[in-house]
Amino acid sequence: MSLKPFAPMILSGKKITSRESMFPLTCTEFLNLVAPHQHKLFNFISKALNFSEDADDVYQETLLRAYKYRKNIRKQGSLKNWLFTVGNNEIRRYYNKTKQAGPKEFSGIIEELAAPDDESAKIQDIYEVAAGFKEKWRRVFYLFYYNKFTLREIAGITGIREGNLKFILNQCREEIKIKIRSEF
Amino acid sequence: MKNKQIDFDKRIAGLVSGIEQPVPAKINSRIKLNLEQIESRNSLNSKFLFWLPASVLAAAAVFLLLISPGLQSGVNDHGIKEIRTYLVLKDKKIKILWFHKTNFNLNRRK
Repeated sequence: MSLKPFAPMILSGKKITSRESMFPLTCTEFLNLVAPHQHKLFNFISKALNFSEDADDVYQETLLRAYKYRKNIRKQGSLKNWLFTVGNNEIRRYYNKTKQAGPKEFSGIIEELAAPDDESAKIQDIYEVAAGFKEKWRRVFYLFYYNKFTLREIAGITGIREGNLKFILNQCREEIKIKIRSEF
Repeated sequence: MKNKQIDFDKRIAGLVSGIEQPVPAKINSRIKLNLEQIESRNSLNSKFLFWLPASVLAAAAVFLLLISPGLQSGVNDHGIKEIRTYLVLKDKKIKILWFHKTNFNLNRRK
C-alpha cells in the first residue's frame, strides 16, 4: 500500500512539511489548528446523536482525545479527516456505553434552529427520518450529506467498505423516499 | 436516472445543512481549560522524567560505593587465585582447602 504525500499545513506562520513532526503542539497551537473544523465537527456529532445534550460531552471528549493522540496528525493525509475519524469513534464509544438507539424527541430544537419558512417542515421531516436510522447508518448519512465527504473518505473515517457505504446510502434514500413521498 | 439521483442528493444535502448550531462558548472554554491542565501535567511529567535518569545514576553510584566492598570476599583479599581442591572431615566439622596464591613464589628455595 503506497502512502499519499501529505499536504503541507500552516501552523502559526510556520509551514510544516510531511517530514516534520507536528508533535509536540501546545494546546493553543492545537486549538488554532482544529479551529476551522470545529463547527462542522460539533454539528456532525450533534446530528449523529439526534441533538442530544450529550453531544457537548462527546465533542469535548473528541477534542481531548485528538489532543492526546496529536502526534498521529502527521500520519493522516488530512487533518479534517483525522478529526472526524476521532469524532466518529467517540460517537461509537458513546452508543456502546449508553446502548441508546431509539429516536429522541427533538422537534422543539429544530423549530428553534430552523428559519421560519416553507423549508422548516421538510427539514424536520428529514431529521425525523434520519433519527430512525440505525446508529451506523446515521453517521454515514450525515458524513455524506452534511459534511460532504466522498465515499472513499467516509470509508477511511468509518472503516466501512465503499460497497457497503453505497448500500447504506441507498437504503437511506429509499427510506426517505418512502416516508416523505410528497416532496421527493 | 443518474441526474435524478444527483438532484435528490443535492436536495437532501441542502435540507440537512439547513440547521446548524454554533459551538457553545462554555464548551470551548471548558475544553481549553482541560487542555491547559493536560499540558501542564505533561510538562511536569517531562521535567520529572528529565531528572529521573540522573537521580537513578546517582543512586546506583552511591549503592556501588557503599555495597560493593562488602560483596568482595575475604579470600580474594589474601591473594588467592583459585581453590584447587578441598577435604571435609565430617565428624570433626573441619574443611581443609588447597588453594593457589597469586603471590606464591615457585623459586622460593633458590
